[in-house]
Amino acid sequence: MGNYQELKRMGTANSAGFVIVAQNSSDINYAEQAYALALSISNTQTYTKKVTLITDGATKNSMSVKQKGIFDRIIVLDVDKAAESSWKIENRYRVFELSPYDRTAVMDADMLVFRDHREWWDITHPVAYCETALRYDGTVATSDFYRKTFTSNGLPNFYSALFMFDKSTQAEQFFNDVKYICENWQTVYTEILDKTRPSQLSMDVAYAIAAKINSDSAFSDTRLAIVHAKTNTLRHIESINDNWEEYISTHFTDDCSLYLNNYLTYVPFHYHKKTWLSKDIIGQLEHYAKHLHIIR
Amino acid sequence: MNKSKGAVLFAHNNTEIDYIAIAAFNALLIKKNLGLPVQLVTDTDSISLYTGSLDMFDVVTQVDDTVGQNFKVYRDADAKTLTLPFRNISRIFTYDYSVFEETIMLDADYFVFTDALNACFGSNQNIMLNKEYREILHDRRSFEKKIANDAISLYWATAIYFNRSSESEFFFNKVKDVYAKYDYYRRLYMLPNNMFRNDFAFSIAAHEVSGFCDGIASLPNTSLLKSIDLDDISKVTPRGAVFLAASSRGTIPVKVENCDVHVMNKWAIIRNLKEWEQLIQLDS
Repeated sequence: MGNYQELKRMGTANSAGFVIVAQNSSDINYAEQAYALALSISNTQTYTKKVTLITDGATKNSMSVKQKGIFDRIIVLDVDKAAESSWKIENRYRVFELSPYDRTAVMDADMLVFRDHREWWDITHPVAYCETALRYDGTVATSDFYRKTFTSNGLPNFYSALFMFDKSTQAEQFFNDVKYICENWQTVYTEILDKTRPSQLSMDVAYAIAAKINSDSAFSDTRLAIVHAKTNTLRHIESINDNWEEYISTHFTDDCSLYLNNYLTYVPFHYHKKTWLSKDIIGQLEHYAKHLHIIR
Repeated sequence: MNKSKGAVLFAHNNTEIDYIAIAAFNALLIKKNLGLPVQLVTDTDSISLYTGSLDMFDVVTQVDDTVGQNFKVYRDADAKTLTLPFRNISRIFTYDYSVFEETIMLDADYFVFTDALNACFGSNQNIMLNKEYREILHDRRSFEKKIANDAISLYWATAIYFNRSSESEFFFNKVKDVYAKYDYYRRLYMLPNNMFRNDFAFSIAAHEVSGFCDGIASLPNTSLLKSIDLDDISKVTPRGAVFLAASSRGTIPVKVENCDVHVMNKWAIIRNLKEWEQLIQLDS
């Protein structure tokens, strides 16, 4: 379990917080995304504003003092299994081991939140996950355009962009299974998934398989919902164009609300497109945080 | 007259369509099935074109300076197609014109064959209008749910309930603002063209006043039933009609009775008005 015991000692009893795993690639500054998400969490959440970043040394060193200052903790990976990867997801399952909190909400770095989500912390399942992706207008997306393997293999529609867990033996078992699947994904996929299986490791699929195995401890919860910015999830109309910004315009206001084609967004926004997070948006988040005396 | 509750109908005639006659017929239905007084909002020109009696209406309001004019394609099944003036602007002033504390505003041709709309009264909702529409022919293409692709939901101005409240007043002020700045709003909300349409204005207002989401309540007990102007009427009854519904399979007879229904073919209505009135009066 690595340094879990030590980190458990570091956390306080009944502590709660957010964890983001973010490692920069050659062309994408995930640390900046994590910083923006942490700002939006600090600006909106009341139950806990604690955000821990799990990253590698190089990414941490690239961050400014201002960016580092928003985080409760920054944990540098002792072993980086994604060192050689361009899409760095191989360390994601270590959130259980590395989270310093008794109750953790894990979010992908490329997300923002816009309102208080105190209701999340009423969820008591050992592992609770988001199965609800919303369109731009707040309706539940029904397309499986990007998720054929979930439908075809009867997997729960696990969105690893937002899920929660506690430091229980049940959750530990869940993550042990996730670890095994991640480290042996090719064999696992071949053995238990049909021909719709993805050609590379997918955290959503890995978590979904683990959730299916641990169905007595991992549950979906409708309080965990996101707007998932992929074209055929966002829209009512199917399209092969992967650039969702050609159909859905966004407006980020001074008070850090987000409108998608004139719909006010009430759930976290998983924007996917790295270029969407502009300096303007980060500036507005910082300005609002200063207004709330969260940062100077 | 007790002015606490009532129905408001708008009727602005053109040279072909006698909307006042249609409204008078609907007023007969409203009094019979809802027991409500009826206010007609019309204009001097329309009254001059109307040859019947205005006695069916409890209140007649003339609004000559707010009528406006668009043009619309009217069809009489497959017999004729005409582009005619369509004067639809005055509806945005309903809150100002209505004399009632609680109002149901209806299209003149949304015929009230039931008492379903009475469920609106006494509601804790200040304003109600519908997003959903049903076709009289079940397998005909259903109406659009959005005002444009990837846009906001389409709310229908066909039947609206509102009461005297700051919320309702705010709603109608927003409708008026949309009209006044239609070029801006139509770009913001991705509307297809510049022709003002009440449904679009009411949809934008409904969207904005409910917090930029689909938050306006629907009319209770009411899913709007609608024909199209390619449909004809083959027979009328005291409780409805038999439509000849146009479809890709040919003309299909569809009996619609004991349902409120929006009849889009105005000429079909006019042709059957006298007989319809007689049947309803005999049925009383």
